[in-house]
Amino acid sequence: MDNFWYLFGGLALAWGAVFFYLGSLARRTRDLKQQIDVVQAQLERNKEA
Amino acid sequence: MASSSPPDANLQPQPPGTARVDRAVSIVPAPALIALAAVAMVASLYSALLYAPTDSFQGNIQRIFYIHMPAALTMYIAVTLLFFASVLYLQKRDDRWDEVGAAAAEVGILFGTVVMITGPMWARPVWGTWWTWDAKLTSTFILWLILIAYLMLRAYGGAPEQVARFCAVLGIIGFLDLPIIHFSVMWWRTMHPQPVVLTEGGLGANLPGSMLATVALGMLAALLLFAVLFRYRLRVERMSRRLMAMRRSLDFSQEENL
Repeated sequence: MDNFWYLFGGLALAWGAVFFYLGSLARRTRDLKQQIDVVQAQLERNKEA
Repeated sequence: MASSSPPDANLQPQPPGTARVDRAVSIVPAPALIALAAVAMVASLYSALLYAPTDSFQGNIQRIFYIHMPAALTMYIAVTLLFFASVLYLQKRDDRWDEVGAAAAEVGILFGTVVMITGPMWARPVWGTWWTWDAKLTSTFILWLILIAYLMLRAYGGAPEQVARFCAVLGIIGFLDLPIIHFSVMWWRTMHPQPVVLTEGGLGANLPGSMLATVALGMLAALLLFAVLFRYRLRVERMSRRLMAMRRSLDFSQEENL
């Protein structure tokens, strides 16, 4: 297959970028969820006090 | 002592169907959209590698076109969405349009990055160089930099309302680069080939049927992927704003308790 490594490299990097971005979105969602839970608990504690 | 009302407007659930974008991204349920995108991406890869004929001049490397071109057109769509969201934000000062702009810009960068990766990988064996500063490549690179600047401004800009306004202006400036990118191959002498899909003779008028079908499948996969990522990114943006509003509310309640 001629120019196989350029084609393979292009496809791998392009798909890699997509999956890297998906991973970054998943990580951000998880972190935000955790922080929202913490602040929510603090808000409820303040409300009770 | 704070005397204003608590800044907890974002804590309240938004009434369903109040934003057109909310409706637009909710037409297809998320799991169905993800499944559709995954199937389309696999089918597109299969078609690009195994179904489409080998280009007699460039050989197999030409198959990268089936990712490069749909990614470029999807970047156009993301920047167009960013433009409309920016204009609507400046007109209405509704934060939801700012959220849409932020999501469109970031997903636009991803597709721009795919274009910037696949372009040089294709250029090296065909042109003999990874990169050349011709009009098409340079104007695309400028758009990519504008989108990066957009995200940097959003991350480090300061007061949220001011950042949203400046970002909207930057989004509009980015959109102005789109016609330059698209028509650069006609306006100036470039190494980049003329458009083969959006042509004056019609959509893909000069492409053989199997190549056109593969392009169409690639485009469908890219659009579905864009819809999935845009929806996901919009959710992250809303969560982030909700957290900011909750923190402001927490500060306010702590001040009240003191």
